[in-house]
Amino acid sequence: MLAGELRHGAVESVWEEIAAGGMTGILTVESGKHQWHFFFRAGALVGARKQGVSSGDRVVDLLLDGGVLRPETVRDALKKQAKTMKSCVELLMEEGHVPLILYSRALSAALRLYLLEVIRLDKGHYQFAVKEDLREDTGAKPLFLDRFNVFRDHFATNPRLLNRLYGALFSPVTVLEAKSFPLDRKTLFYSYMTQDRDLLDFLIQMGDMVDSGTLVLSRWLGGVAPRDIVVVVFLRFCAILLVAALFVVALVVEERHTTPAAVVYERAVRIKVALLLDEARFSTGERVDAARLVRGGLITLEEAAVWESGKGK
Amino acid sequence: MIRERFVSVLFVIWLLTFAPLPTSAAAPVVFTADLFKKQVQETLADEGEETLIRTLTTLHGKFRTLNYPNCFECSLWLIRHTQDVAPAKRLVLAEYAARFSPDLPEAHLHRFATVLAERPGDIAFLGASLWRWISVSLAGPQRDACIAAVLRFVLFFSAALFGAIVAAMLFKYGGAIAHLYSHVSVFSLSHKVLGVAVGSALLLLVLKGAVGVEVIFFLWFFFCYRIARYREIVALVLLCLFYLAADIGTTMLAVTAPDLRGGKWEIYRAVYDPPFTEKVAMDTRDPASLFAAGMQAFYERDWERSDRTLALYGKGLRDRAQLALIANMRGIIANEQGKRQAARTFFLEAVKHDEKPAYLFNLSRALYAEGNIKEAEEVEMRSIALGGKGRYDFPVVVLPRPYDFARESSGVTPPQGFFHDPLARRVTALIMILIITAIMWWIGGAREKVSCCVECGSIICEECSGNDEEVCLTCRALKAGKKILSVSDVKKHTERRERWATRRRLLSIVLSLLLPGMGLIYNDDVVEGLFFLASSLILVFLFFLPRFFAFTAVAPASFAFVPFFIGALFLLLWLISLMRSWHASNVA
Repeated sequence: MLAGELRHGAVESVWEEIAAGGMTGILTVESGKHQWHFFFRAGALVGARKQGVSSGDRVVDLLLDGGVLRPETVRDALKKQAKTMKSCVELLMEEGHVPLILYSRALSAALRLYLLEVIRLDKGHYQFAVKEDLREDTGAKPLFLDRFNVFRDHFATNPRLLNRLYGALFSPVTVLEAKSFPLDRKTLFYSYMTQDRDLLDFLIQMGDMVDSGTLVLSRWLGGVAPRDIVVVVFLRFCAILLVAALFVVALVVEERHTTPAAVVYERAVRIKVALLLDEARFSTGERVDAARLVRGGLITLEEAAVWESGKGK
Repeated sequence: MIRERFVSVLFVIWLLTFAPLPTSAAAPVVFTADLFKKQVQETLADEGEETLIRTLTTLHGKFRTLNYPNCFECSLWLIRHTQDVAPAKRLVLAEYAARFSPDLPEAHLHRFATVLAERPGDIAFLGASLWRWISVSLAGPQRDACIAAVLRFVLFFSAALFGAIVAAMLFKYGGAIAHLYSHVSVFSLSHKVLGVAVGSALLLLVLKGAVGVEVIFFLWFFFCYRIARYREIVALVLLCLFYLAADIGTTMLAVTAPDLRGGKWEIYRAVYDPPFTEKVAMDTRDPASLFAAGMQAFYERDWERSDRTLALYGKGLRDRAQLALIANMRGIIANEQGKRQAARTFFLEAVKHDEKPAYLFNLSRALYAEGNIKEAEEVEMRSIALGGKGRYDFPVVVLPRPYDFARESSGVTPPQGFFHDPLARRVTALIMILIITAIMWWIGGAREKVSCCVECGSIICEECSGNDEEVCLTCRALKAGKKILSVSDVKKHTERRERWATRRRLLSIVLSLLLPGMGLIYNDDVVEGLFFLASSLILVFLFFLPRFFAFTAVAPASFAFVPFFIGALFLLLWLISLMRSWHASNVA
């Protein structure tokens, strides 16, 4: 049995030992009134649970906080829950609000978020018990130590950034440049749910974007470099100027009274009527007018009007 | 007695020496409307067409002797007043209607229609008549109207095809579009203000007529570019380009089309339809009227006045082709006046400016008249080499292209300045629409891809499920045989798939009933659907062809069979399209 007091890096150390031995069992972490259970299979983290919180409820909470589900949807599901004796997440899946893939991603995210919660603790104790017949939740993607180490090393020099990212996971972000990912004005968790990638990799990518100034971890401009603020203000000013110019041009532009096709047609009709008038004169020997051609069914009234309008000009 | 008689005979002989000698020139040729109508009507009553041909040939000979290029009235009269004659005579009349007015498109159209009705198997004659109609239409003052009619068809064709595709797409992607834009619902106040301003600008542009149907093209692209398939987008872009090209083309034609209002038509007629034209008023500031007056004097055989007027007209010319044309006319006048040397000089000048076979032919005849046989033969050989043998009768009168003269006489000048140039205005309006679309995209364009599952029709949203496959997760799980779904879920999903398949089948049939090809486009057979749609629209165009060419003075009556033929073809196309849609929906 592996056991000890919680301190900085204690959980990582015990995981290294579990991974080195390829052990299968449950790691229990206690801190104050809270208790977490981490399930390991052959050294890989395959499940996690917090005491008093079922996996299904945790998934619903995450989807609700991340803005993927609307409160009304969850409220309706909770109302039905009492009648059907099914869990809230089961009802939501049945109704199609939570597809299987979404559930799987949320469950995987819950596992990783529990781990991130625990590694920041510095009070309490842990205990690992070998247990071969584990009953972990199906659907969660396992987490291997090497991937976790990459994540830990990436944020080792800047733990403050990780804290900021963790804190901003469920609040809307602002994307300063035209990028398709992450989604502007949505929570980071929402963007994570749209893609099939590991949460730890996602956080690494977001950390890089925050570093490069592309991503702002709030809806406001606090924490943004002055250069970026100038760029954004300038761009917005240009947009307003452009829209104003557009509006003014639309106001100033001359109104078109006739279509070009009608103009060409009118000119051609004048030639037609002139030809028919000449022919009528040739036939009868007397000068005729357009009204007579109309009576003879050779031209329409509109054509006669076109001819009359062009006379003498 | 004998001496007295001899003296009186001598006196008479002496008197006769002062009387003019009878000349070899024929009596003046007369070509009047009454003569023409009377002679044609008389021969129409005779059996057989030999007399008619002889009479018309004689009349045409007189007409050519007077150097008249056309007689529009004679041709129109032949077309309009000889409808109920024997078919063989109808062909002769149609042929002579075209001969009397080689520059009148109506005469050539009538000949084409008559050949089509009376001798449809003569493909060569039909082709030649059709080609002559097209070429004369494109060289006459109605040229721009003809092109505008074709462009109107392109406009109608592209707009109708676009409407049909959009209707099919609406049925196909309606739910997906609604879902996609349910994601784009929250805007900040600044975005709302910008959106309202941009929308108002667009509305103003539409109301003022600065932009047309292309706004709908652009808006539709904006709304569905994340949903539509590649082939649909390509088809829509091509249609949009067709529409814009036709619209801009029509705008340009409206600026350049000759406007023969007022006395301009008389000026045009004085040159191209001289037999029954009244005298035109000569205005020295108006080159067209000067040329018309010169030509009118030429047709009246008033050589002095004609030469003087044409010389005056030629003074203001810089274009070599026009200078050659005037030199040729003056050469003919000099020849008629008996000034052989002057005639040769003028023809030589014409050839120097523009080496046309007609000018070379005239020059060769002038050289023959002077007795310079060897040089005349050389020049004639050159003329034959350039223009072919036996094309001309001396003298060859060359006139400007009717369209060019109509434009010159109507005095249409392109508008000056950037803001009055229709092309510049049109391009500016297009750029504005593009900017508006870009701003709208920036404000709230859909960035995510939404599609419908091809198996069950449920919406697959990239943003909702992070999936952009063609088949939804449930269908994939069912296909793979994975037992991760409950029995009730499988049952529900199977019912849904069946409903979707029935709906698809029904809709494709209903859309195919509306217009051939629409059902196929709905079933993703975009290319085949477009073929059926385009074919049916072309048939519709043929059905309404007279409406597009309503400016033609004589509508061809023998085209009456066309609607039946077109109707049958359309019905056939419709049935094939229905069958193909049914087949495609079943396969899908």
